[in-house]
Amino acid sequence: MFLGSRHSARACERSDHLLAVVGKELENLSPFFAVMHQQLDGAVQETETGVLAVIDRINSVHGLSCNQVDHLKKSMGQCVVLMGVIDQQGKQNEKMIAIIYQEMQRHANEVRNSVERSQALSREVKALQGIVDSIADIASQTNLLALNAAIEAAHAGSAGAGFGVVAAEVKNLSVRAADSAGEIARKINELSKRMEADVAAGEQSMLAVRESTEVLKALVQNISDLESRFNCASGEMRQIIEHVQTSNDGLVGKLAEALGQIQFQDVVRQRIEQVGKALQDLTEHTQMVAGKLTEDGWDGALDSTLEGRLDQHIGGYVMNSQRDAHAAVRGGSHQGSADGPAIELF
Amino acid sequence: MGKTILIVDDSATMILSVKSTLEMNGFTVETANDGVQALGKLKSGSKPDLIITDVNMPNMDGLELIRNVKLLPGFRFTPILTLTTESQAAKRDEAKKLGATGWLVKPVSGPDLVKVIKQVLPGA
Repeated sequence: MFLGSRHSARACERSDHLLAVVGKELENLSPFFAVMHQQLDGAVQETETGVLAVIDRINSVHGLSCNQVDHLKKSMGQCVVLMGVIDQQGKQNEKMIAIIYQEMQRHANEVRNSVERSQALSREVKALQGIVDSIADIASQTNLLALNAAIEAAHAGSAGAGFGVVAAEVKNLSVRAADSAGEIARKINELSKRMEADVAAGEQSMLAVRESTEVLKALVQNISDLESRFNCASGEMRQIIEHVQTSNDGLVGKLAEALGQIQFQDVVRQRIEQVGKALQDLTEHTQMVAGKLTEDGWDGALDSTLEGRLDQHIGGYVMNSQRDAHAAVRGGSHQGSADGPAIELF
Repeated sequence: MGKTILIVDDSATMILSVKSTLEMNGFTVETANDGVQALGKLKSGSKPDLIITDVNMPNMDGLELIRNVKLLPGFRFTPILTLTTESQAAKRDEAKKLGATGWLVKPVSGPDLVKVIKQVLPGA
């Protein structure tokens, strides 16, 4: 009996000791869970900081892209203004060139008419040479006739004295006519040479006008080519800007998709926060059990059980994924388990 | 000028991601961290064309916010979309009953969100 009583006393001591150890360990769970809670909070903070930084970068990329498009649009705007100026200038150039061309044509016609008139005049002047030659020939024959008349007058003696005077006068007239004819011939010759020189100069002018017209045509072509090249370059630039705009729109779409995917952080945060609440609940429970262990005459009854506490969490879940995870461990299925549409307009 | 949208959410990442998405698409955005703050903004003269609200928030949740907004003069017909992780059909039904325009479950891709907004706000 005595041995049995001693044995029972030792068993009681051992049991008290074990209860004290278990109670102490249960109490130590509180800081343990607190540390875990802190770690989870830290993890949530870090994901939030990281996600905010990523969003910031996404916004930077979008900003840079928009700036690029704006810059190109401004350049295109300036290009359009410049095109307008060049187009206007081109039209003015065309008008001026048309006027110059018309003026040159008129000048060419005048030169040609002048040359033709000079040529005609030259021909007429040259035709006068024949008349002058006839006059010279008549003067020569008249001179010869006057000489013969003078001889005949001398043969007639005193009766031919008057006739001799007339013959002398006729001779004088023939000499003067011959001199005049010579002078006229010389003048005609000089005039003819000057007119030939004028005709040659006129022909040179016509040649120069033709060359100038060719240069003018080449200039018109160059200006036209320049305008064409500029228009072509402007069109290419417009295409580039449209391409950049399209790419930017695509980029915005991709960035918007990425921003949507980043929302996972909020989903994860809420799940982790739920775990944090569960840790807090567990802490309260272990504190309660530890307290019970030290109570004299505790009959093993608990204010709440772990199972009960765990199932109470179902009410705090917001996502079906949380409820599914719970049901996977605890068994059964949750109410209204079917997911509704992700997007529903009422 | 783009339409103005008020985003109500207690998550900084949600606010910034949705705000960035909407601003990229030409909307003007205002933000509030919970129902109380959102209601304060509306009472102070803010007149958004659309409200996008989370459901589970501290101080005042999204459903309570919808209820209050519908009672505010001038906001009876303002469309309200919920954007939430909440998947309880009962809450979805309650939101509908309170006058919400639609229910969107996170995460929602940016293009899908913009598409829904353009359906709700013709001409946006």
